[in-house]
Amino acid sequence: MAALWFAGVAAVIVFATSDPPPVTAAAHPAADTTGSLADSARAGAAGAGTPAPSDSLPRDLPFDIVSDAALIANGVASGELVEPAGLAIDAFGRLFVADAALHRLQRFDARGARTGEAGALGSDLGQLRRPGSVALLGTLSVAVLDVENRRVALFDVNARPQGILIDFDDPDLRSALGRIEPRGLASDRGGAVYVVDGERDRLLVFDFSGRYTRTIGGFGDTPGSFRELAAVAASRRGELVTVERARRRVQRLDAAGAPAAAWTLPGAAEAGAMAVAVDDSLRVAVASERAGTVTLWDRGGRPLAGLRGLDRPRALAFAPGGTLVVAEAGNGRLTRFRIEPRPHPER
Amino acid sequence: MSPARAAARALLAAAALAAALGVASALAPGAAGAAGDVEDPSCGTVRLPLLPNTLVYVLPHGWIRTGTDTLRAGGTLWQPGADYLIDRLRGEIRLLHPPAAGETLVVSACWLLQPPPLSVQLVPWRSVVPGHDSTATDSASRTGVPYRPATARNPGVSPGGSSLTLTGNKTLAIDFGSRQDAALRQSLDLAISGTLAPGVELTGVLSDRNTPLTAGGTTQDLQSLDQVLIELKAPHATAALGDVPLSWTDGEFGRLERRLQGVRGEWNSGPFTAVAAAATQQGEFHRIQIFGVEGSQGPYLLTDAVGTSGVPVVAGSDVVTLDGSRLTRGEGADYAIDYERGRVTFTNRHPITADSRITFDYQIASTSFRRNLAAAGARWVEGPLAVWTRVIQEGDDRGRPLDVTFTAEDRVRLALAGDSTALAIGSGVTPGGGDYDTVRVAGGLAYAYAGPDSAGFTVLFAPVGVGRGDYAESTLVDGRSAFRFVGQGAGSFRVGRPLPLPQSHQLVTVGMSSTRGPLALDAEGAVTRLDRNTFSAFDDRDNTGGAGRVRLSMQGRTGGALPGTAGWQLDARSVERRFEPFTPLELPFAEESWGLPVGADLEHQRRATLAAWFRPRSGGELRVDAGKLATAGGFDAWRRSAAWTRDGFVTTRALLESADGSQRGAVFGEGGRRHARGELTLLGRWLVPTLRGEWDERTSPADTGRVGSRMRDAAVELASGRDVHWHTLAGYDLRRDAHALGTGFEQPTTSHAMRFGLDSPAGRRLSLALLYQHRDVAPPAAGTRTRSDLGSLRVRAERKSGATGTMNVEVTSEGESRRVRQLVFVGQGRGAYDSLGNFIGTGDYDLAVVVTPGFDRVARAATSAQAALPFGKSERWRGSRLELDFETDVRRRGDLLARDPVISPGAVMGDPGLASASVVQRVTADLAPGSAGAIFLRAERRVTSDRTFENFAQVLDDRTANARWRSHLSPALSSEFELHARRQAANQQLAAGGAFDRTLVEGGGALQAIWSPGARLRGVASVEATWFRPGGTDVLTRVLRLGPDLGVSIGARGRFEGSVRRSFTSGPATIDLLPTADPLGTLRWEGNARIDWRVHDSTTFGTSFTLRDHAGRRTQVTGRAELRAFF
Repeated sequence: MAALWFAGVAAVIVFATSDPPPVTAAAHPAADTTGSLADSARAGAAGAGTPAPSDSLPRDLPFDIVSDAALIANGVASGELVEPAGLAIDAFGRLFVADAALHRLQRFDARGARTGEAGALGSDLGQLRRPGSVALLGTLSVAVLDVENRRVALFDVNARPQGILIDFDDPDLRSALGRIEPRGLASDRGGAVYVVDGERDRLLVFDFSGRYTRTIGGFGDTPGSFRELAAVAASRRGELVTVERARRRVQRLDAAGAPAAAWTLPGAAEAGAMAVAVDDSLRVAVASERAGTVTLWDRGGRPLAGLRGLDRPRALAFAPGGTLVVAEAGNGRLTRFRIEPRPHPER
Repeated sequence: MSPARAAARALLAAAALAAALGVASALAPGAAGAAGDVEDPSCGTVRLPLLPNTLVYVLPHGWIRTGTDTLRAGGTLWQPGADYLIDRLRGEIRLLHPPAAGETLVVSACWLLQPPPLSVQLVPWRSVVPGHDSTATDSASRTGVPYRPATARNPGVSPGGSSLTLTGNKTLAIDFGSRQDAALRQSLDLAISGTLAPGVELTGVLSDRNTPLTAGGTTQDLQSLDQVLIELKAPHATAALGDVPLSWTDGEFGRLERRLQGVRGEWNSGPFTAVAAAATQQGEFHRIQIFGVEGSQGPYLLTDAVGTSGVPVVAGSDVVTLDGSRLTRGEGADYAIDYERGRVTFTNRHPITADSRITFDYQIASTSFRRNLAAAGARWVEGPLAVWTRVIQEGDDRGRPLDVTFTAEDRVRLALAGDSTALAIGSGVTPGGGDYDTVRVAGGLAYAYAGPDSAGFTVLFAPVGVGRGDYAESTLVDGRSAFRFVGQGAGSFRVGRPLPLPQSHQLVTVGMSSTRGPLALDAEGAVTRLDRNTFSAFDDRDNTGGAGRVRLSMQGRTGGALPGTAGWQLDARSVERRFEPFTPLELPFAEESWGLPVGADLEHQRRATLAAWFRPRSGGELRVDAGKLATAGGFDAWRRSAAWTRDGFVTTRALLESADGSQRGAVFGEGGRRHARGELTLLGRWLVPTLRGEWDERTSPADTGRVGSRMRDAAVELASGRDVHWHTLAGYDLRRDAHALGTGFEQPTTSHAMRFGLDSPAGRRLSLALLYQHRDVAPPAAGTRTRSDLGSLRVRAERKSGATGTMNVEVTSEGESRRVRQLVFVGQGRGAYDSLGNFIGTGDYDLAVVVTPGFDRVARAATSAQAALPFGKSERWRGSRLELDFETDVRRRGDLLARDPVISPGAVMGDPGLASASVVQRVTADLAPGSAGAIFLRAERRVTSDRTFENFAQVLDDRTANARWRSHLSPALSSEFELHARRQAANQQLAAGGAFDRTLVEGGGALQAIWSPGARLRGVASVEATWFRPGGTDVLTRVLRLGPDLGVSIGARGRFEGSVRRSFTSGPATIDLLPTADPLGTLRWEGNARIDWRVHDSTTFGTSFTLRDHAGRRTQVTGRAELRAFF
């Protein structure tokens, strides 16, 4: 009987997971440097909604990502930082890092010296279970996605617990939105919180007091919809940048939630985590944990720079000086990178 | 010829002519090409490299023509007003966001070819000098009119003023609804950064949440803003405004370490440095010294000056020391603190025993008066000479009490109270209902407790000290103390309301240090003034006190038979009894080193110490010192010590310490200490063994008998050496403690402690970190044996295939309050709770949760484990994964069991020894996410139990299973089909009361069809079918819920999102798992609509409405309008 049941399930799975719909080939983002919504929409009408993926970035990128300083050289060896899973940087350059293995929020100054921490393994107030994304809430609060406790915990900039901002198991919230599977977190300058809901492939928006306000997107292929939504970042003016795992698609949404641009990351879909950050010039940095890469794009999807050979980059954030800080989960490393124009040989 | 043919011929002729002209022009580049390449000489393109943190860029031309400026960077067109501003007159571009350094800004613009000067100078007319030669070139100088350039500055060279970036958000929202009043919510966040002038950097942030708005729409004042922080850095000065730290560690008498809300500035010029701060003090400084509780890591309660626990503590003001070592705050570090309730819990890094000496320095959140602090200091260093001074003023603003209102009678009482809190007591009796009635005792009236709200008076009692009051605490009722009359002067409490005393505190200190060759001199003098009651002029004659100290030291090289360096140091200090520094002068528990009891006054003293040291060239240091002490309390003592330290392959440490003292007037006046400690370590490459021994005997003066303690400790430790990659540590410690009794030490307590640690090398696929400590205390006679375990385990494994596994376990010991759930029957429908204490709005019972004094020792184990297996290589299966999650949190009264870190749901539900526990088991599978039909499977079980009440227990069991299939029928059409099943069970039991059991079974499915032809339109059709059934019955409640979702763009700036659901229910109404005040009811209609409109690139407006219609209830409508502006 059990064998029959398993055979039935297998048959259903084989039947259900048939070939995907054909993807119409489109120009690579490197060739189509605008990657505008109009182009995306045209491609979407014909196929997947975004240009087709490529295996790698072009070689003639205009920028290099250059190591500037090793803030934490090897956190695993020192036990200081074991599995960084979220990163945020405030106006003074102070770093807030969520450590999923130590179940803590750690605070470092701009040079990487540890200045405080909060949290321990547990479910009480002030305790965390596998914390993930970190976001600055406004200018003086830090929100931490407490993944296994299914909530967003609030800390001040001195890493002191302030309370629970959002409880995803709250009966009212569950009644209105169903089960929520939080995967990522971002916040804009106004303290609006954007939560990646992996259960329904949507973005849930909460105001600065933790009150649910609206939903952006949902399951689908076209711009404005998501498939395997993995990460979100918010820019200074409330624009959103999302990354989807299944199609490795990056979308930029305006402050009202309408899609403004979309492009595809190189490489193939994978199961690892992805992280995204956006700076004030709307440059977008995307980290792919499994591939060990960080790619940098301009606001329209033109590739600017790439970085390989990282050990499971799990989180990244832009610092006030325009540098990029990347946290690697493989070795607990925290590195600051400069973004420099690549010198042309003829000059 | 037909007209059509004629037209076609004409078209062909025109095309041929055009082609001929094109060819001709192509073949004649000199003529046509030149004509096509004519460019406007007043237009051009300028390329400006963008620099980090530079916002202002100057073009080589001014007088830019309106509408001709175009800016691009990185291939993107910049928008004026959103990305940049341009001063067309001066050709100055100001960026509105920090640039991406390294990019090039390409500016295309047109300008005036011969621009007029930007400024002209009015030159007064002067008559021509007779005989002037108008052809001379230096006519200006001859006429005496000075030469001036047309513009005062070169805009391409001189700085263009400040270069600041202001970013932030302002949000205004109005919430409204059919069952609520409209409520205004607002937030403001600002961040400013950049340079004010060359070398002067400004960074500031400001955050404001829900501040009440005035009629003018602005916040009331800066004080009402939640938090603001500004930092200004200049080459010779810094300033900060907001939540700033002040840390002065120069000297000894003027030390200050506080967190302040105010302004702090520092200025330095060559050898001179000055610091000033003015702030609102957040609290009153307080220190307590305690011994630990055997085997309990906490929580330890912080108290205020009169011993009240649970007081809020100023965040960040805490300094905690354990056995003389300062600890690090943080739950992953040494201790965690709950600022709201004033509770400290130590982590498992340091096991707390009954002999742990713990000191808490903290600030209690001030609730009496607004307290202000002003401080200024200066330091001048010139070569070997340094001079410093500090002035600190701290005072309560007696005109602005915070949580109290003084009556005229109160002010009179305060004016007559002097410095005595026992006399500062206001009226504490309010007639007209309360807990107390008057009774006649020995001819006088007294108040007697009659029960909660059962009598005629509300009476407050103030603590006045033992033997100074008439009342004593009797019992706890509903968590509040009840008092009883015990006779005149026989109690510790008096009827009345304690009045806070505003105080004023000043300190002035001057110090210097100088070195001359091998000789160094360090001296300091200080004066303090402390008025404990600024309302009263009484007791003010003892407000002022002084202190002074001097230190003379010398060091130099030695030769001959003892080559090395040597030195000596002479310290002398005198601190008057009335001297009151802001920070304690002595280290915690330092009084024990002289033979004084813990808590005795060691601050006010006269002391002289002579120390000498010798560092041989071969390594190590020998230090001997001797000192004489006389305290203000009449205790005289001598103290001698010798210490040896040497690090190397053979590491040795030794300490001999001896003190003898006597207390004038005490019956058993002798006090002293005998202390010896030795340690031997061999630093081998493979093995590092350590032997340690300690003996410590302390006695202190007393009137009732000999008081003292003795400790003997021996420890052995074995650790791996530097050539062993896996760091290992194992240790054993045997300790015997005894207390002075009669002429010797009796009733020894023996404790065994074992420690084990293991750390894997970094960079491996398998990493492991383990730390485990076990301590077993055998008390004398038939006392209860205490066992405590502390530990943490961290494992992480990873395979090349991408499979990962992580596991974390933390074991610790804590204390937990005993609680009782008291339910009182108050009549049918007159209460708010049911018979088990569930809040149901209208019930027959009232609930009181009584927290009894004392803590139970609770052992806690928390586990978090996760395994993930990614698989799939084809396009269809790539990204598939299987995940297992396991999370537990177990608190057990007494000792942990071996199974607790990996406890089963059955044990969580049935083990009565657990104070509380939870376990989560989850299996998740994501199959073929790249295919047209992705499948997601999840099974999860959550079990929680709560037995923290002595008379109540609750167990919840929640099992869910989900299966979801998502298909992509075409790029525009997708569908999602989901099946789910859920079983919830709840059990509540009240001792000597009832029990509650309920099981809910739920199942169903949902189908969604999503149509989205593009970004502008998204439509969803949804159908959900769910059935519910209470456990043990066949009565089904069936709910069919269906409706559409619609999202559509409105023009280029707007978006509408809406959804409607209609529910059809058959069978009885659905119920909640636990009784609640607001049962679900049967939902009929549910809808919401939202419009978002982008008013400007950086401003959005959104409004939303939600409607819910339940059967038998009024339709509920809620809404929100929100305006968000980014800048």
